[in-house]
Amino acid sequence: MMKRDVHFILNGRQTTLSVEPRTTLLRALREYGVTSVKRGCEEGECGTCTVVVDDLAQKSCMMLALEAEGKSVLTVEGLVGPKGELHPIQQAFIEEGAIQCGFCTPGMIMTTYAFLRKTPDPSEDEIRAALAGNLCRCTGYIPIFRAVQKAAKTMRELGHFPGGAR
Amino acid sequence: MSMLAFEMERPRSLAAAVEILGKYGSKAMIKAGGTDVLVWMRKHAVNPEMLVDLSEIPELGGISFYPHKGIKIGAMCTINQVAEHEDARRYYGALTDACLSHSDPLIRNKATVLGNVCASVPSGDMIPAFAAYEAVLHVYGPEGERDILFADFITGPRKNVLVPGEIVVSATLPLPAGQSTGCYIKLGRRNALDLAQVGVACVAIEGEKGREYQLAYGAVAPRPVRAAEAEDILAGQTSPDAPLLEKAAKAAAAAVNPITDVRASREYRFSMVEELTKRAVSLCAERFRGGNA
Amino acid sequence: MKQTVTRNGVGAWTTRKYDLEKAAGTLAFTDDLRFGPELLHARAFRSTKAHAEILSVDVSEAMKVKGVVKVITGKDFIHRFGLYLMDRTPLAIGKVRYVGEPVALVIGETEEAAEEGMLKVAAKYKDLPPIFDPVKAATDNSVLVHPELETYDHVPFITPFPGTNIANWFRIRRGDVDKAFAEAEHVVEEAVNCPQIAHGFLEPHCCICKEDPATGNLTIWSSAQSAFALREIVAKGLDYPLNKIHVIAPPIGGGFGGKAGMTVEALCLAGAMNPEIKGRPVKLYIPREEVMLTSWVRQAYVSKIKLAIDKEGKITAIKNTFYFDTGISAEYGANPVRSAGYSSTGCYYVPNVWTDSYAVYTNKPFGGAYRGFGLPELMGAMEVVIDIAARKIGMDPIEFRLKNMLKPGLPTCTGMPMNAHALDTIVNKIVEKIRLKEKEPATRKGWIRGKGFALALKAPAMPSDAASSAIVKILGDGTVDVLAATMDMGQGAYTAYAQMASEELGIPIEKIKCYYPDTQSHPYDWQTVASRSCWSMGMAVKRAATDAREKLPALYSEYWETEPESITIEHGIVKCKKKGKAEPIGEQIQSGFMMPSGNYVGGPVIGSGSFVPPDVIYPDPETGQSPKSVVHFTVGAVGIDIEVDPATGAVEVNKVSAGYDVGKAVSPINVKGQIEGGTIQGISAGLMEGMYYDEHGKLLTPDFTDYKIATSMDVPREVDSFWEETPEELSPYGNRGVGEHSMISPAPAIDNALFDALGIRIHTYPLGRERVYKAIQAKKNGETDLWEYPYALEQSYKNAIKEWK
Repeated sequence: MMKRDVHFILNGRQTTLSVEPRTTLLRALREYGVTSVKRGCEEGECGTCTVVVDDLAQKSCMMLALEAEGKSVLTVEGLVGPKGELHPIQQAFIEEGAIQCGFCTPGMIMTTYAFLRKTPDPSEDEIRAALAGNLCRCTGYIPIFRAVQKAAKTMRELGHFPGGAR
Repeated sequence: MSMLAFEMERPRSLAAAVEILGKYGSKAMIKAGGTDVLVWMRKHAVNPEMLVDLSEIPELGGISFYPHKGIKIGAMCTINQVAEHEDARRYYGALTDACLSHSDPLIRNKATVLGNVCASVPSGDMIPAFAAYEAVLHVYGPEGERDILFADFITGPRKNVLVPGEIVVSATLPLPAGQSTGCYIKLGRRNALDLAQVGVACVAIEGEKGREYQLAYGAVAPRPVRAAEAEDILAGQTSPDAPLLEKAAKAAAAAVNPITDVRASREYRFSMVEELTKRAVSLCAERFRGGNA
Repeated sequence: MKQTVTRNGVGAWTTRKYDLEKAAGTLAFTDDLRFGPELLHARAFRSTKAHAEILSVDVSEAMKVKGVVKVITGKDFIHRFGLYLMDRTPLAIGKVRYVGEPVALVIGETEEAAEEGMLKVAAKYKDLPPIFDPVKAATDNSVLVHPELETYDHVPFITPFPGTNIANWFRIRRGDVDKAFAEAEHVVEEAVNCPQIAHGFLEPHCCICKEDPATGNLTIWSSAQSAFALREIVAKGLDYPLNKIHVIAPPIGGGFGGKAGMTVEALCLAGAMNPEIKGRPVKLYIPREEVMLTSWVRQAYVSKIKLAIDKEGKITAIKNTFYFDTGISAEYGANPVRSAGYSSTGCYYVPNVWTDSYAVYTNKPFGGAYRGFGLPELMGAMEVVIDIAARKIGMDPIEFRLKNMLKPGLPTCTGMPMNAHALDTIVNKIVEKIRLKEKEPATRKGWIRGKGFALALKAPAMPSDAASSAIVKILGDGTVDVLAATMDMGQGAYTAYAQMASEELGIPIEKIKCYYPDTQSHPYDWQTVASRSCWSMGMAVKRAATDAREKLPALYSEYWETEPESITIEHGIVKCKKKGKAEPIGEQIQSGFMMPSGNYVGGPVIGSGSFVPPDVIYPDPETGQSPKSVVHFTVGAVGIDIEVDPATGAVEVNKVSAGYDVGKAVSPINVKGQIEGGTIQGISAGLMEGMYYDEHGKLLTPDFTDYKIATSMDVPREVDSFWEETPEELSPYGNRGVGEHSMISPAPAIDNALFDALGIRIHTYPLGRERVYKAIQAKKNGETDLWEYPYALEQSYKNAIKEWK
């Protein structure tokens, strides 16, 4: 099959990739070198490939690369600042022991990122519900819940949510 | 596993989509959100030569609500968009419950309500709600437009009455005639991200003839099931008592025909149809009392 | 004498090594490595038959697919592999033995080409009768899964029985069991069973192999827990020298035993070593749907336990029969069977013991290592039977457990004295935390509340000669490299080693780095399994760090012209208070010190350490007795508070409390992580996990669509974890293993809680909604027990299934 170009913003930078129609966004990103996007099942069940597309968390195995045309795609690499500063969510995951093997971590962090933008002051129930599409086999989720709470607090304090929920 | 190669078009109009579909006939498949189609292609359950992606057709988006017509949901509306829509939440409790029970919050950003209906898988979460609200599907195809009553739409597991080249453009769920409440209760093997073992949609309406119930079931028959006898038993009852609920539940179980598979046995599904019927009816009655109607 | 000071040594709460890279997404797992356009991709064509002769494999159509380079079948790669018993070939030869067994390997220029080629391979088979039921397979030899069993090499502590399906038979014979039963006040005999379960790690297996055509040297990059065991198994299977095989183990995305030993690597080598591949690297990525078909799973089991109990409530004898369903290979699965066998009185002292623990071949995917390694299987049955027994004799189950507890010094079933522990303290704490002796009303309307309890124990299950070694290098700027070939798969081994090195060297943890295993740079370690790493490799790391440190006082005392005893290392600064000297460790540590006389002394400071358990002796094959059969046991307990929805069978956990005697928490953040994570994995297994097959042996639960594991929505409201620290005598810091233990007893605790709630005993795991519902219905019909036999169900699946026409 012919490859086609797809143009989108990847972590803030205009990017063009050449892909087959059957190539999922997951495979295209990985092929391009964005390997934080993990393939754990490629059928929408595990969440390790989660990215944020135009502010919504998406499982990138459930999206064809060509569908990203004109969109903005954010991966966990894009959360790291220019001087290597970690995002408060990344920092909270490290501090709370919310990471073990690390395979679910990038997806878990991206889901948290999209979630906290909509829900800056979440309840524990809201956190549990928001993470239901991201499996973790190592931590038992408990420290992840703590990390999300902590990140939300830090982000509120740092003014990550100008004008409240957005 | 990798998908086999295919071509993809992303038409910008319905007419263009129908033209491509016409050209490829049975070798083409439609993709809306894609969360089912991509999985099927990966497992080689379907191997289309041409995938027609509807996501660039502007008129397929959008949700509109007019009290006299009901709610109209475009083919590309995601499950989360419907779940968060204020009128949907207010007037279509069974549908928004179903939306929130579907898969997980991420998949719901991609999967569409109508895609779930068109996949016509017996466990599709939207299906009982569509049956209970007596939805009408608006279809565009080579022969022009037509409306299909949802009751006539699904003919068997993964089968429906669409002919090649036809696209479900939108669906209307008429506003129940009278004040109403609705709910969808689903049983899975765990608390999130599971296919329904049994799903029950219940809509309770305070109509001209008094209280009416519309009960529909998923995952317990090859086609969506309405439990007419159970509905008749419950008619007129604003707070059905235990014996009546029991009677209605038994009637509902008589209306379904589940299978045994790795997810649940036929026997368990029968029992759960009874239990969830009682719960759904009680929950609707409760929501009425709670002023959520 | 140690003269060091550090803030983040042993016992300190620190953040974890490599979490930064994991959070930033920069840590490269095997699938993330790049090999350029030379890389080829392999895809397995698998059997659709559970047991059949292979009549032909037609690869001609596959070879026509664009991009397909080569298709390999079993006859192209005739090598047998195995850790304990060499019964496994990477590709089927002559016969297939389970649905999903690799029959051919398609090599393509791209993953997609290999996939398309795989779809074009065609095989013809002649059916043979399959066997799925392990009890039938063990007791009736009408179908033999491995008629060639006699010819397979095996380690001496495995005892296969050729001419049967028994791949290993472990026995304990102590005292006079018959007499004890004859004299018993009470005899309780019960059975419990459980299907196979899967590890559910999120990173599927991935491997890249490359053969240097000039030298024949092999390089293997693999998502493997144990680089050295992998090298050894491959070397033995290929009859290769060890140093011609270079294994690189990048970080792995969860293991839980599923990436121990050798898993998919030989299959990948079948491609990479083919002459037509001409030295190109070959990658084998296992799609999620095939993970359970390619590597091992936890063995299914049927356990029968019979107890003799005297008037006082003391257990006087036990008779155990354990059938472990090991599927088509026992190369690894033979050993959990042994592990359950030599722990087969659980946490109790029983004078008279008779145990038969069998590994039984069946025509299913194969069993092997899984977190807990025989003990979740043993205790899943034992702790339920103990609960039943206590209630039958009218004793409180907690009191019954305390009364019969295997207290320090008492002999275990193999006759070795039990090590020091504080299990009674743990029990009492959990009784308090869960309010186990109080009946409490349900918090959900119409639900029923119940509480349950179970004990846990486990020793590192490994050969007696499982050795470790480590190298500690102090670099020219005072930073430190630790080479310890443990795989840090999330359990936090590298953090623990860095804490140990910091403790010994007086150098802050931030300056200490551990590296992922590479057989070319790292010294030997047997395997990252058995909860042994912090203990066994811990010994080696401590010795290596000590060895490095001890070189410093000699050098600095000559350099500063003072006594070695006056030299200290504090936070990376070398000091001599007497002389008023204080210098950060610098270049001279690697290039040598210019001494007052002008000459140079020293050179790179390297410490090394080796360890092998010094006193373990294999149990006698006839009696199972040994003065010291294992290095130590870690004990603990789980208490759980649940509610059941009687109308659906749904179970919710209100609270779980789990405590273990870890000896010493070297790295508390990781001890907590292991307890919390394993507890949830154990609850998940107990409530929802099982692998199911149709009547032809086809796996019906191959992926996460139908193999359900706990999500964030399934986690209990409250998870309490704690530990006691009764030091272990032979141990780097008194620590004992705890990685696996938290997985052992949540399931039986739930079963006991369900009995407490419902008054009916469920003898079959998992305790899923439908099964619990069935039990509630059975109780209404006057039943006292629910016992479902998954194998019988499997056989009758055809009758049970009802399809829509």
